[in-house]
Amino acid sequence: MLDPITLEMLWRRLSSTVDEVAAALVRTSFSTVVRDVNDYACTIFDARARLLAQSSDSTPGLCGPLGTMLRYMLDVYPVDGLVPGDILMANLPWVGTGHQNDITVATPAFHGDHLIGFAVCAAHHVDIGGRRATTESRDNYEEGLRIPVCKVYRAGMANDDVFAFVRENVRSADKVIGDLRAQFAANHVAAQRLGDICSEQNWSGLQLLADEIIQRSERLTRAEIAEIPRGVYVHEAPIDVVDGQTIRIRTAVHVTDEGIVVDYDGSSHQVTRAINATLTYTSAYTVFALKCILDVPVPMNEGILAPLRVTAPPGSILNATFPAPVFARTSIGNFLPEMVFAALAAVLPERVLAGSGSTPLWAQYLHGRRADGREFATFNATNGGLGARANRDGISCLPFPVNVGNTPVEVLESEVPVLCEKRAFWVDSAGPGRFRGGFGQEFVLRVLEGDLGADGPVVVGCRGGRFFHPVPGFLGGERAPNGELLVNGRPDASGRQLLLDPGDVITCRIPGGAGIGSPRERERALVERDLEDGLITEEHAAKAYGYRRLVAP
Amino acid sequence: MPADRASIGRTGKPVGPMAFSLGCDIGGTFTDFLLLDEETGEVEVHKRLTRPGDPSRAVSEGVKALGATRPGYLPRVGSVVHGTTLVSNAVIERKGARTGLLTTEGFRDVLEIGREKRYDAHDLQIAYPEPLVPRPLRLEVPERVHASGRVLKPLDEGGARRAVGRLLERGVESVAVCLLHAYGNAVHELRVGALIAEMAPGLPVSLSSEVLPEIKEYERCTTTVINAYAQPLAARYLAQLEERLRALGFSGDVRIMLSGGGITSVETARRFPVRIIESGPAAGVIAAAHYARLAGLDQVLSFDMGGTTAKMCLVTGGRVAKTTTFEIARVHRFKRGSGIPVRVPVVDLMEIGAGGGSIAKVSGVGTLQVGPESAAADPGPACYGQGGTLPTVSDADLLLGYLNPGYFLGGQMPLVRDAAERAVRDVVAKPLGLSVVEAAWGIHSIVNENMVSAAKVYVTEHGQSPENCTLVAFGGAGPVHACDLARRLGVRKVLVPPRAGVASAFGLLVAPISYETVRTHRVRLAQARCEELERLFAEMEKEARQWLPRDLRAGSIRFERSADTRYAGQGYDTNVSLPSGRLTEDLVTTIRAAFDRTYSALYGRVYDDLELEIINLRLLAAVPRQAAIGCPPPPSTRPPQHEERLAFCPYKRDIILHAVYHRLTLPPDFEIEGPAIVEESEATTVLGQGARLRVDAQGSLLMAVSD
Repeated sequence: MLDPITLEMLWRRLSSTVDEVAAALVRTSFSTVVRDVNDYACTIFDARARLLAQSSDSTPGLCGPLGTMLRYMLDVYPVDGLVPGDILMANLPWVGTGHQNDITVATPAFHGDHLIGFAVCAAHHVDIGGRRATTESRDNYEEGLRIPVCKVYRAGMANDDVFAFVRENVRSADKVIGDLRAQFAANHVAAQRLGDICSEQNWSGLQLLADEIIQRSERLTRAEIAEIPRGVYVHEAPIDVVDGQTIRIRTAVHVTDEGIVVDYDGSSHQVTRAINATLTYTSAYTVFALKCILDVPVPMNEGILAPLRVTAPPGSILNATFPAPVFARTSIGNFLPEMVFAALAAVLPERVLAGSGSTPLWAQYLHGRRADGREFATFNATNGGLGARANRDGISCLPFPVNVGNTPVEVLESEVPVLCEKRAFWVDSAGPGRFRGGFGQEFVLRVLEGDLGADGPVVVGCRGGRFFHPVPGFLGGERAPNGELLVNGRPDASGRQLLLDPGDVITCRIPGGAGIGSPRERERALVERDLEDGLITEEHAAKAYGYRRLVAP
Repeated sequence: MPADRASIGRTGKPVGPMAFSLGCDIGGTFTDFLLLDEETGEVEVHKRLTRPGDPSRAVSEGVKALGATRPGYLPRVGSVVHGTTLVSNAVIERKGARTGLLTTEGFRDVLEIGREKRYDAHDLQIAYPEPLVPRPLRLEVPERVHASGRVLKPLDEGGARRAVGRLLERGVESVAVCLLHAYGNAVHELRVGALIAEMAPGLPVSLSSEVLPEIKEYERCTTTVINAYAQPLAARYLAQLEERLRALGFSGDVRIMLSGGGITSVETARRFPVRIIESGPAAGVIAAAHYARLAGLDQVLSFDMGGTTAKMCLVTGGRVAKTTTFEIARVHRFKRGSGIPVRVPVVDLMEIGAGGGSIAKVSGVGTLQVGPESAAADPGPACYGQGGTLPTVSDADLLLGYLNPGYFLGGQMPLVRDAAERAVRDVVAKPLGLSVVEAAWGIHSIVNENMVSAAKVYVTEHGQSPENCTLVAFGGAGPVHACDLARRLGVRKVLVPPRAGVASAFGLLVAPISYETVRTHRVRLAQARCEELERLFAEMEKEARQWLPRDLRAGSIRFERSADTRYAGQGYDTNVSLPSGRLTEDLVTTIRAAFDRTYSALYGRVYDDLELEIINLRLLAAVPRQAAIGCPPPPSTRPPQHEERLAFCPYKRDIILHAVYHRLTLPPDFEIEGPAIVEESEATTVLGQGARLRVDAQGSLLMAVSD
């Protein structure tokens, strides 16, 4: 057994190592998705491919599936055949992070000749070939280069054929290769740190440490689960996706003596649009939601994962069958935490978050050419409000469950020939409740004309949602209004590319979060404060809260 | 130009030669004074409790108290240099002015919307600081400027007047103005400023184009708002401070410490109080840099460990690492992103929750954890005997024999060993099945490991390696932990400067007088025009001359130019130093070479085929101080004293006899071999087994650490 002092010391060191290498990866990355959307993950696994540590700012969808990916890699290249200097690489969506843009790199760590663990990282790349970011691909083959498990380095020697294959299949090849090198570098440092621990402790491997971390975390997680009343908690809800299609998600959370099983049986069948989720991806977002509500004060590792299981029937939208198109799987994955929270709201009311207007992510990808001839490709997120919590209002304009910040208007306007006319709270957009949701956002963009304007149309890829099915309130709390996307004042469906000419205006109204508890129970002073702040109108206060201003006699 | 210029130039005829400088640093608990006789190098130190309600009174009381040992010194003091937490306290405690904000139409909520990021992915109870300006006091002005600087919609003066009028009706005491793209074209901001001056003469106004002419509206807005929020308070305080000092006979200059490690005039501090937001901690680093320079050390990691936190900062070739990313009023003290961003030059400190008061506990998974929670001053560590029952780092240090229970703060505060032992035994040792000494060593080790982990990340992020650094340790707990910390970090040398307990007050006296400024100039390097860059640098030099203390504006100003540069398409800038002197036509090659050097040191590679883009130009103007002295303590008349006491030796894993020296009795070049302990009134230095210590000519303790 490892003493509690050494254990704490080394455990903390693993956690700080993954964050350290992640910071370098983010800072040097050319991929805006890595930088702005945190679409990367740096992790450490033990020699038996069990998760020990993962970078804390990563997107759930990226860190979640890396265990499955690593174990698959080791099926292809068994541990016995690995030598120092080998690096493995792959991007297969069904065993990994759910779409090809994310390339996973795994570096076995050695102490002497002894394999002691793995450094594994994944990052969303600038390009992966195939059709550009679209939900219109008809199958996975159209979605770009599929990289099977390969040794991109063999005993320290670059496998040039692999590099050549990648280079010939992607746009912006220099940036893709540059970002891959950053991934190799991150893994290299992390693997070295594992070796350092062995040298310092005079160990031949890390198994003692790994076992302690995993066993202790698992014990804690099981004890925490034991606090939740046994039962099956079910929730079913429609969500709208591209083209106004409705998808139904049925969630059954089984809390048993063995752990928690989240079963999505009864959810919609997979669809032709590229919004299907692989089970690895579904599982990642589900586990993220559980980690948010379980009080397990240690960072994510295999011990926490052990009592948690996620299932969905093959062929369903949450466990799509190859070769279904999967590029925009976040459109579905984003909703899963809300589904889990809704199912558990009655039994864990203090822990959950009501529906968030920022689910799913609203964002615009702007492409085109400026009048001065320079091309631009810029991304901006516009977030709705966070859902209410049991004892406090939601936060206005805050993303959930992804974590994507906005682009400053001044930066946006210095890159793209548009003028932002408004970035403001959307009045009356918060779902009422004893505690209300955070307020949503009103964002208005006009394409400039003349010499400051665009040369040709500006292509705007719009993401968003909640056009048909509103943000749900919990426990008597009320919904937030539906989202609105207007082009020159006329409603337009989201999820597709808009072609805007100089002078055109798009308006996004992103919903606020929903409420928790009956609005009639809301403190009068809080309603008055919102009125005073101009965040709600008198009519809304009257309608939602039954509030009437007292007139002095 | 400010109208109140006269107030700093009031240097009447000195009574005698201006032989003294006085440093005065207001900290959370203590206000420290350090009086330096510039002729003899003699130093007088005074410490007294801070008066949170009336901090300038503690200053005048301390100034008077110093007169007891140096009668009549004050008229001969050339400058009083002051470090204060006034501005950060005003923000944290919400004691600033009722502030109004004017923004471009459509953007009054930017201050509250912020950057739309969660600082903790898993925390569903996440919270953010309330904005300093509530929504009813945030009003919009009809106008619009484009990123290119072109006016797309002229300022509607009627609309602006109405907005100002409404703010005045609502009783604002200070106004911030932050219009879009004002960093590039300030014409509308200046006009709005003039309208306010006309409608409400004397009302403090902060224009974003003056406070921070830098791209990114949210950060510029929060910075401008903090400036406005603190301005009336800072003006009152500084006026009162000067008045009180003058009343006592002081006729020299009052200088204020900036967050970036330089000092400035009262006038500049009054106009830009946001620039003094983090003035205390910066001074400690300056002192460390100073002693490192005297000792001929090139690469230094300053290490300041106090009661609540430990702060580290890299100093390379005498240059203190700086950044413009800083946060105030965090909801969670150690969570990045949970506070209000402030974009002013600050010393780039890595701060973690590791101090003498850090609390040890058994974690949920049965490991020993230390911090970041702190017992602070009240109740303080169990050994303070003030009723604290939770074990802290100081308790462990006492039980390990490192602290002398009878000589803490020079014996002013006896430590209670029994209380420390009870706390460590009951809370940590028993539940974990350890002996008290094992548990105490565990606490000491874990807190050191926590600092090591954080330091490694910090040092690596700056493209350096700990092995090449010398640790300069100070603060109450720094020298106790330095030797073991260095060993774990892979650092070979440790320096403990003289008077390690009042390092900040000393730093005030050696910091250069400086002014820093910025201009956003976003351009691809290939398209950058020499004349344009020179024009902007010239504009900044003019601004710097305007705001440096008047008596120094003539010669001796050193200008340092730098540019925030990136590969086009990357999201982070790298600050690149530019050669001094005018840029020439080959600026593309010059800047590219400078960028390659910096980038490759940070990230290990460069891309020759990728285009570079300049984002901001920066200028630092500095005037070196006269007082570049070491002021070693006076030579002792007593021979080196040497006692013994039992203390823990990690190599033997046992309590063994350690030699104990009194620092003031150690002459230069005196050498000690570990294990040993060196005591002085505000600090204790622990020398591990195998380490060697030498006293240098300045009175610093220089330790060589072995593996």
